[in-house]
Amino acid sequence: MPIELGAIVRIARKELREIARSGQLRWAAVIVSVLFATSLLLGWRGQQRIRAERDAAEQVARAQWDRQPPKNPHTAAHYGMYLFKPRPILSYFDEGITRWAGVSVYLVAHIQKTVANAAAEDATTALRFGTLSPASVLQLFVPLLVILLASPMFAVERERGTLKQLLSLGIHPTTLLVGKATGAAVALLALLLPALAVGIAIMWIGAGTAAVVGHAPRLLLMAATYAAYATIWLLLSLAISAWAKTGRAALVSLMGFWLFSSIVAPRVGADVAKHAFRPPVAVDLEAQILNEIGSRVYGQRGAQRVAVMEAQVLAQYGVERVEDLPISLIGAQLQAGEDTAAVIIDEHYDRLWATFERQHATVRVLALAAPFIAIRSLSQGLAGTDVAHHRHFAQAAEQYRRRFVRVLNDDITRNASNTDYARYRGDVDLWRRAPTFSYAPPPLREVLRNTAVDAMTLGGWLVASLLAAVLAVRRGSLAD
Amino acid sequence: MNSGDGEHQTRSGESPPLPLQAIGVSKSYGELRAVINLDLRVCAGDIYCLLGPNGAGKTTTINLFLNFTRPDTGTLRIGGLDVTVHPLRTKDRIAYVPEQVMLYRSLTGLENLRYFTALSGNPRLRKDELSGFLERAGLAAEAANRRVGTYSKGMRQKVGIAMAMAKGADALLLDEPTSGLDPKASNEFSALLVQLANTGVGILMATHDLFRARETGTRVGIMRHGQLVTELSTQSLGHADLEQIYLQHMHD
Repeated sequence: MPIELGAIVRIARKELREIARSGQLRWAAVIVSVLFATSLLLGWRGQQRIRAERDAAEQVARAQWDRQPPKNPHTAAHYGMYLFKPRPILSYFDEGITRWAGVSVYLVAHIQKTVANAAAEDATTALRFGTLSPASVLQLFVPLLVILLASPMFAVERERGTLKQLLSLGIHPTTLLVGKATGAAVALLALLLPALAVGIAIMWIGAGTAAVVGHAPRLLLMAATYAAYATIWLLLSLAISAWAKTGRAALVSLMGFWLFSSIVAPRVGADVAKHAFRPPVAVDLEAQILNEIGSRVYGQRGAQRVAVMEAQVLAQYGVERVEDLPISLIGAQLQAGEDTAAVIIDEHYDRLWATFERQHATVRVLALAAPFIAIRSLSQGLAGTDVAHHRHFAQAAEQYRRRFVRVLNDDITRNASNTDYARYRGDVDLWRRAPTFSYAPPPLREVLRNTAVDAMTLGGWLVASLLAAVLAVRRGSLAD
Repeated sequence: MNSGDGEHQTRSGESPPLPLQAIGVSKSYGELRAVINLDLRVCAGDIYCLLGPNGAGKTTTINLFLNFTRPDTGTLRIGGLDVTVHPLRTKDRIAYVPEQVMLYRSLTGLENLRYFTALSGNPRLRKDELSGFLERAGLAAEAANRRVGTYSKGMRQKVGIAMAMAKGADALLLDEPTSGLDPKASNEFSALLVQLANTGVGILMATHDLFRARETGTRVGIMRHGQLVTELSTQSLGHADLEQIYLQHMHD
């Protein structure tokens, strides 16, 4: 077996000693660690503030609903109520699309409103450059640190002649590769683990043991994902270092790839996807849905449907006149209208989500050339801040809206008069019977299913970078 | 010190394998024929000096023994083992000192020696043993604990020799090791080589320095355009003779 454990340890220790003695690397490492720790602290503080604001807003919205004066329940359904999107606890680590996706949804009769009031609407253009979150530090800056650490490991040794000296000792190139990779990995862990411990400690203190334990599988998967991502960059850096003639060439090549993977590819991917699969803007979508509802529920077709329904209800109760019905026909018709509208809404929103899914799939193709895209998707998925989670919330909110409106329509059906419907009033007892919105995010297995493609892409990158590194060091002319 | 081109005889009458041997070795880089049908034998205790102008094939010969480049034809053996068949085992038996011994600038001389020695198969040498090698190579104790970034070329060459001694190699390959050294450092370096040869190490040294070859070497081979054009024993040569023979071959 050519790989010797003792030699690996000695090479790793030498690399660590050199890293520790290099002023540039020391400073770069300190800057990345401070950025990471700071982003964790700021992320947690920001998240706690927003969670508190959200909880307060939710209470106010519910109180406004509960305290509204007596009114016709259908009028109340048009008065509506606001729901606020819960902020996942791990969003302090990775905000994902949170700032762009909206935080509140207005529940009202007949129509599903989009989740609105995104933070990005009030932000300056600086937001386009991204925000400093722990995830962005790991996704953007850690690869830079890895490049600084690993790009000189073979190339500079070759330039200085020490690589030839080493290889003349009979050391196997793969042993050299593993030793150098181990040295760089230990240095990275030494820098990032304390900051990561700070992050988990913050979560522990702020949210309690149950939150940490409950999120342990996601946290562990996230740690494994980021470890794989850093390993990809480490192996790529060592591969390029082993191929490049000079340390400068290795550094420039890797910086170029970093720029492509982290900056160019995600933006190009987003632009291509946006132009290839353009979703309707929220106002147009709502107008299209309302037009269709107007035509199918209230238009000529609607009038025919109402007439048919009236006949059916009269037959069901064995009466000939609406006034003799034991229920309110209007309440039943309102609910029937809601049921038809729900079908129309689902058709439109299914198309909308399919468009988003196609956009995401387009961007995912670029992940084959840019590992940043794969890690970003995986990280957002595990943090609960990706498009899939947003869709899950939007759909849960819509299902709640339908239950909420049904409670009001059922009340009308049971209690309102067929002759004097307009004077019927619901009161606080009815308002309080409206269910409370309780949202549970998708389980981990669903998250894993949604992000399987990204995980496979990242795995592919890991295998490819390992092969590249092994092939690069095993070529005959490594010393030259 | 071995004086000729014969092999040592053991008590049983068998010849021990030669530390370094090239048999019919040729190597070309495209159109350029760097080494042509080279036959070379370096016995234990030999200091074989390979002379020749730039591009004669001296460094290629060293690189072929190190298996940094593979021969087109022929065989290179270290301690009787084919270097292309046993690339790692043959390297266990040799030490290599290039024109500039390259060390890690941020490590001290002692740390460099410990690192290279450990990787060459002697991980258990104690600090005092390693310091002893540096001292025997002529490096002051104070310098041994300084970072190599402050070393002169002569000091780095001494660390290179200490590495060879610590490794306990059977053969030593040197590529222009005294180039750029001042006369005193060059003399000290030559004395170290003689010390090593006296312990039975076979040494192959590529050099331009006719004087150093005559003074230090036991045998001299002159290369030109990739061919070993002559081999001489230094015992019977004066300085002027060697220079005359060398120039004669260069002008043929």
